[in-house]
Amino acid sequence: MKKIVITIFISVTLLFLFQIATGYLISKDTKLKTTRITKSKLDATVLIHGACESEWTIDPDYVEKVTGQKAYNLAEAYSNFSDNYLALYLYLKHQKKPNYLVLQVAPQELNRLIPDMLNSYRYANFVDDSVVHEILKKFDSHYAFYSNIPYLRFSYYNNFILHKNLRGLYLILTNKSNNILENGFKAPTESDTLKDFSKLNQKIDKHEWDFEQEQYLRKIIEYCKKENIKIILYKLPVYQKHYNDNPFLKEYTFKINEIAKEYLIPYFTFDTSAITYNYHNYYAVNHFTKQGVTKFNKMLFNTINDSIFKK
Amino acid sequence: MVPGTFAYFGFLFIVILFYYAINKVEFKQWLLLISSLFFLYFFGITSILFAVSLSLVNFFFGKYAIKGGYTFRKLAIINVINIGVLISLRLTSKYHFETISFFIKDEKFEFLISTLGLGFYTMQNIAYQIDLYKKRYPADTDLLKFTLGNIFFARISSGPILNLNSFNQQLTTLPIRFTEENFTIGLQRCLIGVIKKYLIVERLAVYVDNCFDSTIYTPCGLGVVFGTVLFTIQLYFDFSGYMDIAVGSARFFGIKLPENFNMPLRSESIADWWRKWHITLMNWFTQYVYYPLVYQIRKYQKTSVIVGIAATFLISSLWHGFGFTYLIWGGLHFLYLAYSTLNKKGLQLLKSKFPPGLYSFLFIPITILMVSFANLFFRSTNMVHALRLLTLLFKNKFWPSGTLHSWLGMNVITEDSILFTLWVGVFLSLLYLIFETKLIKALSYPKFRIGWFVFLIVMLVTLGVFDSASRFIYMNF
Repeated sequence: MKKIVITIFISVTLLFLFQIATGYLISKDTKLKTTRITKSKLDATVLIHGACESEWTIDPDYVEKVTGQKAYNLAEAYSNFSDNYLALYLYLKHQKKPNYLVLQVAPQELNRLIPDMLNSYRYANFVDDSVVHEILKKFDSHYAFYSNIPYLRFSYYNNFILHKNLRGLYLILTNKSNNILENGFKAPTESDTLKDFSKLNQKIDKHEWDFEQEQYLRKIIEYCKKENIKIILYKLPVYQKHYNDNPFLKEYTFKINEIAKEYLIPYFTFDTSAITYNYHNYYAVNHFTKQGVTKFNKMLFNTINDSIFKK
Repeated sequence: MVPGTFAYFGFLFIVILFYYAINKVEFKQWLLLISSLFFLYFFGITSILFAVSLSLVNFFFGKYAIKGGYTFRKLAIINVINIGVLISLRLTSKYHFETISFFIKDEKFEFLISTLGLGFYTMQNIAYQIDLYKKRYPADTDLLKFTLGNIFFARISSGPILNLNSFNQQLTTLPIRFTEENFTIGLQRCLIGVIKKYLIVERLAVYVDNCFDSTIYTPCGLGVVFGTVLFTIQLYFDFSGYMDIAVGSARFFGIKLPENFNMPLRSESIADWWRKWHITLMNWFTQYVYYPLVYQIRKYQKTSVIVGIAATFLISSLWHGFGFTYLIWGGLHFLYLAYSTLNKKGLQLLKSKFPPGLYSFLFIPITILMVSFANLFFRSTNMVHALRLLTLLFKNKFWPSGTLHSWLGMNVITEDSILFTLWVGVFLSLLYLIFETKLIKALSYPKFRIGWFVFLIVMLVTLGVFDSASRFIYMNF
């Protein structure tokens, strides 16, 4: 019995020490947006937010060039609105308040049957924060429970964490700073081209309005209103044929527009713009190629600049 | 309550506490029976219904059939019942339905009847009846022990397949006191089982699932080879990990379950593989299918052996499921073994020409590749998926080009960390395989060593992947 108690004591102590070390290593990995927003001084006046469509499309350098406003792209792949809410919460907790939040709200993000989610592992270093813990408990109760066991807050999602942990260690050992994604934008490369045209004709048979995510979209809007941040909603238009073949996209866009109207905020959609007719602009159904990105940034920020920033 | 989960170990812990609080062996048997029923309840009431009723039918049939002389007719009747139930339920389960969806694609035809461990206790019951018929053992007179032999929670999910008679003997001599040896061996086997599952299997799944299940992303030929070999390794760690948990769990109660693996990934031939892989299943087939059949037609010499192998693998395929994929998997193993039987002398001569180390160095990978090729069919959900992989293997470009993502055929937006996970899984599995002999020795050490357990616990918690843990693969059978 004595041996068992000693084993448990040593194991728990070691795991606590590893927990502290891992937290430290992750906090050194500036490739992670959660680290960047909590450790660097960003001073952005325009904050770009949303899921992968935003992360891989909106170029903060272009925004600055056109509008003269310093921007940062906070968006991350696979994230839903509860994930967006947490990222925004951490951002506002550690950074100067931006004047504008440009948030991508696409119909597919409000379809409950798509894989965007709350990526709990991104918040492993913040589980002790009550706001973070509450949301994790709501959307990922297993993780919230196991994060109470020493070290499991990191190892539960080890598929993601271990790599980041070692990358942090590498940065410390080599004394290098990681400047990738300094402005948060993940630009498409030349090789991101359409390989299979049928992908653009994808038919989405199953869809279901996600009331929970609608609630978090509303929370983001209300949070910004409370913080006196002007919020601008936009939508990255999908390939025209895909838009026409999937009537629910139109229906959902209408619903989102109704929410925007309710809060008296703009919602820019470009569903019938020329960009949506040329498949060379797309490499996936809702992702632009390099040329598509250039065109869309111009289109979106000229519109925002003229109708909002300049007013 | 899948073995290896937090819930399972919580349940196990409570049963152990009660078990050693009881002094009478009979009460311990009752406790194990009630715990097993409780465990089965988590897999659906139908699991309890079938496991218990088949135990009752086999127990009473055996008991009364032996009175008037156990005839072949009686044996046929009971085994028609056993096999009939197995076949009927196999056909109605979703998992096995999917394997035959090459022919039927009607989604309405999905009757989901949960029957955990059916394939395993059916084999035990059939063996029990044959043993009675052959007068190898007397009929069991203790219904409690007989039922426990079938539904004992530590092993019902995926075996090992027990000899009910020798298991029952262990039940009569259950230990009264908690011993350091049982605790130490039980704990280290359970820990190594979960380490295999959470450190290796879940990591390899990142690529294996992508390779076999994704219809959108297409690996090159080498990517398919890599995926099928990884599946063979994954299956070994998954199944042997489950076995470690089963053997370890039973050991806490002083029960020694038979081993199912003997380092199969070091096999130098397919015959060697089947001596080391799923040993209790192969022993069952050898004893109840192969030997009796070969003995009956022994005058045909080599032909009898070939027929015996064919029958063994035909039944083994059907036991796994009724899909074409399983038939091809069994057919390939039959071809491998038939070839080595017919060319036994030539292969022995070949072996003698090589220095031992070099022979192993060459033939272990060849054996793994042959097994993996058969496993391409074993893992494919149906023939459509298998044919897709064969097309990629033989018609697509074999050698990789472009990024690692593209030759592995993985999603372009897959994070770097996912690929890293895969390489960590590959590294850990190789590390385990290199030190396997030493590890197996360490796992039977009967004294509690603090450093060793701290190492295992810290390894598990720091390197495990816990978010995606699924059922063990062999729980489908």
